[in-house]
Amino acid sequence: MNFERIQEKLSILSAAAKYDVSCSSSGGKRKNTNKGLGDSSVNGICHSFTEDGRCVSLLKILLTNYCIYDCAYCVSRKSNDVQRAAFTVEEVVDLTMNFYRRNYIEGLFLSSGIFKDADTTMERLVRVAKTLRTVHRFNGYIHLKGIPGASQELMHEAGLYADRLSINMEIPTQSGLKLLAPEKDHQDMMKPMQVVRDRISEIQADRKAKHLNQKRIPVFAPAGQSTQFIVGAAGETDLQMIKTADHFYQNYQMRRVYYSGYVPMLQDKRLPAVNSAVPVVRESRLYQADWLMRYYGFAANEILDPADPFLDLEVDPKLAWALRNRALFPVPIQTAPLEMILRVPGIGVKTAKRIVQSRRFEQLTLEHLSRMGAAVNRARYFIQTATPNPALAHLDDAGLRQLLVSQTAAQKQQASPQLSLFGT
Amino acid sequence: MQMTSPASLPVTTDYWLTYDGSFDGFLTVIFRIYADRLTVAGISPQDIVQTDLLACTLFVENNATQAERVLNRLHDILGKTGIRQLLAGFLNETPMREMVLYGVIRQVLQQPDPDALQNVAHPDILTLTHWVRQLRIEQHRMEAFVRFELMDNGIFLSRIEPDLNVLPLVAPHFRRRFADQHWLIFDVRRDFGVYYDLDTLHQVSELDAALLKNPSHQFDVKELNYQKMWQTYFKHVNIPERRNLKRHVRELPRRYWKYLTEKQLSV
Repeated sequence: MNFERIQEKLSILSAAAKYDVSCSSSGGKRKNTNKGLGDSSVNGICHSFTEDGRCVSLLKILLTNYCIYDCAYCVSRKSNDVQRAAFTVEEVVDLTMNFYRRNYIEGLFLSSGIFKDADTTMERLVRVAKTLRTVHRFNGYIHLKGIPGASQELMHEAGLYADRLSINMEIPTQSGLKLLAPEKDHQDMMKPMQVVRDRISEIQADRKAKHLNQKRIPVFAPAGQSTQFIVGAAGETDLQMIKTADHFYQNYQMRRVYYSGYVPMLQDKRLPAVNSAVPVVRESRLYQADWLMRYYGFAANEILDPADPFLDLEVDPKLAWALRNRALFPVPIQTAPLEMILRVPGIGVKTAKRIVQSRRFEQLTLEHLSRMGAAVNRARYFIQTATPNPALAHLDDAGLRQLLVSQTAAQKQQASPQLSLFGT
Repeated sequence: MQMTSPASLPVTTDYWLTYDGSFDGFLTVIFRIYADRLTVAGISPQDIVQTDLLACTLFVENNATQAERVLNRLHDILGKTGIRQLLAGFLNETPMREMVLYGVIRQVLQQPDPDALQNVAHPDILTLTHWVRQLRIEQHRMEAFVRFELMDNGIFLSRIEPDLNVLPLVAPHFRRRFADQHWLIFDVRRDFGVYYDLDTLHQVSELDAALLKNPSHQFDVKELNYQKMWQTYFKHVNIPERRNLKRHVRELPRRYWKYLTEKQLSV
């Protein structure tokens, strides 16, 4: 094997794959029963972190960055003048096996530019996964990208070897897609998603029906499917994104929706200018909103109002919701149901559970809450405890929002001298 | 300081209890505290010098039957997960961990409840919860940050220096995962390792110092190529426009960089 050449391909095809933010390796249940290599951890493992602070869990590469499409937002678009390269199936397999053996990675995340046509590309991706599983007895995590327009047969085969399948929506609105990727169609993306969804529920139903000889029923994409939206490329609102995400969670049993802040790197009048900033705050607010839907019991229409379809960049969506709904507060910590404690700003899922567990033994005070991990400086304005809580007096103040914003700003300022050490 | 004569001491004496350092030994100490109604000033392994000069030192001999009685009683109350938490607390290397565990056990025996360890409003239980969490974090970090290097004899070698003694806890994970390769993980700080020979785990107590210092002389011929490729990958998957070093070092603390292939200067 020519290492210099593979090294060069690796730099091109990893740089081209890095805008796909999904890195999750959780949900795989593959056990190492065949004395092969690998065993998927249910919770996933981040083996490293890059200097942008993102987790490195999988070998995330494109099979090739040759592409017949010309999507404006994509670095690999046909008209972009970049170096092109393509891995062979064997090269990807060798890299995956050798990285995995050194404990660098949890597995492989393989995507590709579309060469020739959808099925040819998809067939090649499937062949990599199949070789790893059948020839090398690889039980690590495999995430395959579904190619829009790929046939049902190939998607079915992909799910036999992959733990997760994903088809990226990228642009959640039909109009935005028309503007930025006129050759693509939402239908081409939805169809493979439907195929995956239906196959997953089919297999689940089979399992229930034939629980006596479970072994016969094949495993199909045990970690489910996910998708990704690009944030800030096509002028879509947060409400449109949250609603679309909610639609996928409700109707496609999607495990995750990822939000990728658009990194301006292409000169195009349809897109934000090349030197404009990556919308990182907006991206993180979208993740917070997503979390509220998945773990905190919020409905999409509670998080955003059609009259004001963008998330507040100054305060997080949970705090924003609490400020809009002050009539529901204060929440009595000693007696309120878990669902309501989850809605208190500054109290996360773990802390909420701890509160409910420990309040049987003690009258909880603010000090207890702080030791259990609550951000009391925020929570105290919204809760009632056994001991007097002077902060509650501000609950109905018109200035409470400003008070909380400046408090957070002051904290950030205190923390920032450390940051300047690195010259950011 | 004025010395008080022994005769004027109160009748109840505080005891400083020492034991052999094992978990069973510690449980025997607990048994003796209750059986003899002792007032405790401190508990420590016998090789650690006690500091309370007024207390009376008493060595408690490890007694399997007595230890088991304590264990069974705790198991009846807390179940298996509770025992696991106590054991995790015991693996913590903080001096005086025994007093915290004694505080926890006293609370559990006083108010026997299957969820007693969830009462994090109790200071000792809260400390134990923190310890358990610390240990789990370190265990998880080792599962993530171990880096193997392939030696010319076909063994994948990894050197580690974890903050806590977690190698015994993580070895089964690596055994499941790397069932088809020979590997050896060596804790350089605590000077012992675990070797897997495709069948069983073996404890290794000694390793050639020169090899531990710099194993590169005994690398497999292809090893450096893969290390270079991993470094290339690590560099190119980064998005410079999103640089966030604060988060980078929070997630990947500097003390672990020493053995991380991707954080070495280009090899």
